[in-house]
Order: sequence, then C-alpha cells, then structure tokens
Amino acid sequence: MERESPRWSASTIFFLGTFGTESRAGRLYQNRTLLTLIAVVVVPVLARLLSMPEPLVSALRVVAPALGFALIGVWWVRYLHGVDEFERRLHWEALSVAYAVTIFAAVTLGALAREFQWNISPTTLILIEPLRAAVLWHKSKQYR
Amino acid sequence: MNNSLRVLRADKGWSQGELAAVLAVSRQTVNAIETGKYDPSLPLAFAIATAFGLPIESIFRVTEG
Repeated sequence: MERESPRWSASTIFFLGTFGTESRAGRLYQNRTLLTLIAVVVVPVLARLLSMPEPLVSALRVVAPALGFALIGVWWVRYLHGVDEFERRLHWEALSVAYAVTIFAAVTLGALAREFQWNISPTTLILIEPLRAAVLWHKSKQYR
Repeated sequence: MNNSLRVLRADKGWSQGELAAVLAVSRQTVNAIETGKYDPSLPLAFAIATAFGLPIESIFRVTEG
C-alpha cells in the first residue's frame, strides 16, 4: 500500500491562507483574490497617471482597498462553500480561535491604549490573518 | 468510530488520491478518515459506501466507550 503525504503544504497555508490550489475552490479563490489585489493597486495608480482630479484620486485610494477587501471576503465565503467538509471544518476551527483571540486582543489593546494614550492603528487587526493561518496549520497537523 | 476504509481501498488497488477523486474530496480528507482522525458526515459516508458497493455498517463501526 502506498504512503501518500497526509499533509497540506505549510507554505500554502501561511501565504494563501487556504489549503492550496488542488481543489477547484482553491484555484478560484487564488485567481479571484490575485485579480482583486491587482485592481486595488492598479486603479488608483491609473487614476493618477491619467491626471484625474486629486479629490477623485484620493477617494479611489480609500475606496479601492475597502471594496477590494470586501470582494476578497466574498471570494473567501465562496471558497469555504466550495471546499470539502473536512477542510471546511478545519477552516471553521481556525476562524473560531482567531476570532476569540482577536476579540480579547482588541479589548485589551483598546483598554491599554485608552489608559496610556497609545496610538494603535486599526490596521493592526490585519494580524488576525497570520494568526488564523497559524491555527489552521496547527489544526491540520492535529488531524494528520 | 473506526472503519475499514484503508483495507477496502487497498483491495480495490486505489490510491488515496484516486478515492478522493471518486468522492470529490481532498486526499487529506481520505487520509484523515482512514486514520480515524475524522468521522465523515452521513452524506460522505453514504458516498463511500456507494463507491465500494457495500452497506455503511460494513465499513464504519461504532467503538464501545
């Protein structure tokens, strides 16, 4: 009987946040996300190159990332619906842990920031993503 | 719950990847079921039973305790 690797690639989990492109859902998510990220960068640059009015360029710099990441959220939900039940379960477990830790961190940092007048950028919440990936990697090893 | 999936798959001469393709799941999912780390849902258990042409209870057994 052959022995095939039961593992998902750690680099895929950490860089893409998914189980990779072996599944159709994984390929779709990667391609859609890549195109969306390109658009997020290209649209404001194009607006500036085309000498559009500064208020419009400014607005695009705010709106493009917001819309882009909202779209990536939609691609993510579609990805979750597309993967098989075991992969979906691992993703949910990772999301649950990341959510709980993020709520705790947000409340704690918020209290500390208020107490000590720290200036903490809301963008630090993006750290939820590597945290989720780390938990996903850990969970995927548990079920090996 | 334990199962005889690995033995049945070997009898058929299928790789994990081939069985995964038949079931439309990932190879890692097949591995997790074979090693008893993951119990499949009822629809997936039925799909496995259909793939081998066997009743579910001859593949999956509830362990005591």
